[in-house]
Formats: sequence, structure tokens, C-alpha cells
Amino acid sequence: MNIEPSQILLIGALLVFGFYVFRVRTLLTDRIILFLLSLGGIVLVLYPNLTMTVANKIGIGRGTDLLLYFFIIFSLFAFAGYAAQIKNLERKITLLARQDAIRNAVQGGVEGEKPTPGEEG
Amino acid sequence: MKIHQPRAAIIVPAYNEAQKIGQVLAKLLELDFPVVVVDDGSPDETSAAASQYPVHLLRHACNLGQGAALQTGFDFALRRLKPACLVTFDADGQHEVADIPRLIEALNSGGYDVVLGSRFLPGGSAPHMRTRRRLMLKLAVLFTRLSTGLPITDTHNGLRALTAEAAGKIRITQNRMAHASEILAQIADLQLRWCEVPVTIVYSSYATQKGQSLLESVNILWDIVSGKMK
Repeated sequence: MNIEPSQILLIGALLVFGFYVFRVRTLLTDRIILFLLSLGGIVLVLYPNLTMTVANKIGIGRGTDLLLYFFIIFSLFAFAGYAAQIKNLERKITLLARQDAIRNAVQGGVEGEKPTPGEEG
Repeated sequence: MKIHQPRAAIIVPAYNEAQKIGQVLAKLLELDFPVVVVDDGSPDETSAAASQYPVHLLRHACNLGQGAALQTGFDFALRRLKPACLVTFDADGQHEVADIPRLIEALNSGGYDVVLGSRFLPGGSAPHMRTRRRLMLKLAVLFTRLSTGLPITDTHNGLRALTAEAAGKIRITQNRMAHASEILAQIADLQLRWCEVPVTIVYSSYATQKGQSLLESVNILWDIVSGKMK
């Protein structure tokens, strides 16, 4: 098989990316998914006509179109996941800031700030 | 230790109101109710200005939004002051202190859980309100009527009175400006007894700057919709 420079670069990038994320994500399921995706990526780089075969089988014209659709759908799920995480974080930040605000309440006045007396019972 | 149970506690959420809050607090204190100011992480001197007055002052470590500030004020007041009712009041000088006793009176004599201020009822007024603002508010009224079924005439009025029990049942999760719609939705869901009372909203050039833009209204709508999808 004749290996193109582009294939070397792509496989190199996938390997670097793979190792980097492997160190960051310690959850086993994340690592398995990552390993499979990287492996799949390397296989597709070495045998690009695979995408064409699969695509034609399910009624899509080009292999690249198949990859694109897959990427779009994957991205949509990823964005939805991030949005949910962010919302959750905001909720937690609110609870923290609220508790801090209530605990550190002061009373204003001519004498300047005094702490509010603690809770009774 | 004396357990002080006031007839009412005034909750004042504030963000960047160093200019106006002094005047507002001075007038509010004439009513002789405890006042709870929640500084929503203002970068200006709002807290310094408020601390000149004998009010309870809480500070969010970061800006969360008026809805969050209100809920913080509710939690503090209900837990520490144990008032019979809560009144929400804006810090920018748009509300009239003179309207507060009428809200509390309506709450007590009418047996309501929530009394809402309305600028659109006969007896209420909103001099110098821009037409665009009036249009957006009217659209909001229509939206509320469709989504909650409540025939409320002024859905974005920060002047309200709630019994302590009603305030305890309401849980504001919308930090930012969608909280107004969320409160109404909860009033409907919890089947709270409510009524509206005419109030005056004072528009100055200062206040108009801080009003909501069309873009913010779109954001509010999105917050409401995505909130319902949880």
C-alpha cells in the first residue's frame, strides 16, 4: 500500500490527540470510547474507500458526506451535553453565592457595617 | 434574645445602583419595616452606599441576576426576620414607596397569597413610558395569558407583596430576567390566590437606559422555554 504524507500527518495527529485525552479522561468508559474512535479514525485514514462503501450501502452519495453527517450528529449531542453541564454549574454557583451572602449578611447604619446576629435555633 | 417578627420585610435586589439606592432606602425606611438589600455583585459602590442606612445588606460574590438576588433575599428574610409578609421593591427609583402600604393592606384584608402591582390598571400609571416598552409589555401579558392562563395586566412589575407562606412555597430558579415569568407560572401551578393593585411606575431617563432591549426579551423567552424542558 502506498502511504501518502497526508495519511502520516493525520495518523500522527490522531495518536497525539489520543494520548493527550487518555491522560485527561480517567474514566474507563471514556478511555474505551476514545480508543475505539482513534482506532476507527486511523483505519479510515488508511482505507478511505471504506467510507464510500458504507455510505453507498445506506444511500449516501459520498464517503465524506457520511463522515460529515456523523460529525454533525455527534456534535449536536456534545453541545447538548455541554449546555446541560453549564446549567448545572450555574445552579451550583448560585447556591454557593447565596449561602455565602446569607452567612455574611451585615447591618448598615451610621456606625458602619456590623455583622447580623447569627440564627436563633 | 428578642424574636422580632415584623409585619413586613422589604426585599430590594440591587445591581449598579450606587447613584439611586440611597434615596430609595431613605424613603423605604420611613415605613419602619426591615429592609433587606441584596447587592448582586455590583462592581460599583452600591454596597457602600447601602451600608450608610440601617438595612440588612447581603452581597453576592458574583453577578447572578435579579431573580437570584430576590431568592437570596427571600431565604434570608424568611429564615432570620420571620416577617408576616415580604414586599419586593426595585432599587432604581421606579417604584413608589407610597404604594407599599396598599399592597400589604390588600394582602391582609383580601386574604390573598400574592398581590401584584400593575401600572396598567385604572388608578395605576406609568408616565413617560416609551411606546416600544409598552408594546413589549403588552406582548408579555399576552404570552403569560397563553402559557399560564392568568389574566394579569402587568407581568413585569417588580413591586409585589407575598405572604411569608407563599414566599416560602415559591422557588425562583431563573436567575436572570425570566424570573418574573417564572413567579407567575408558579403562582398558577401552586394555585395561589392573587390579585393586582394599581401602582405608579416612574420613568426617568436614568431608568429607561436600564430597561430591557428586544434582544433581552428573546433571551427571556428562551430561558422560559428551556426551563420548561428540564
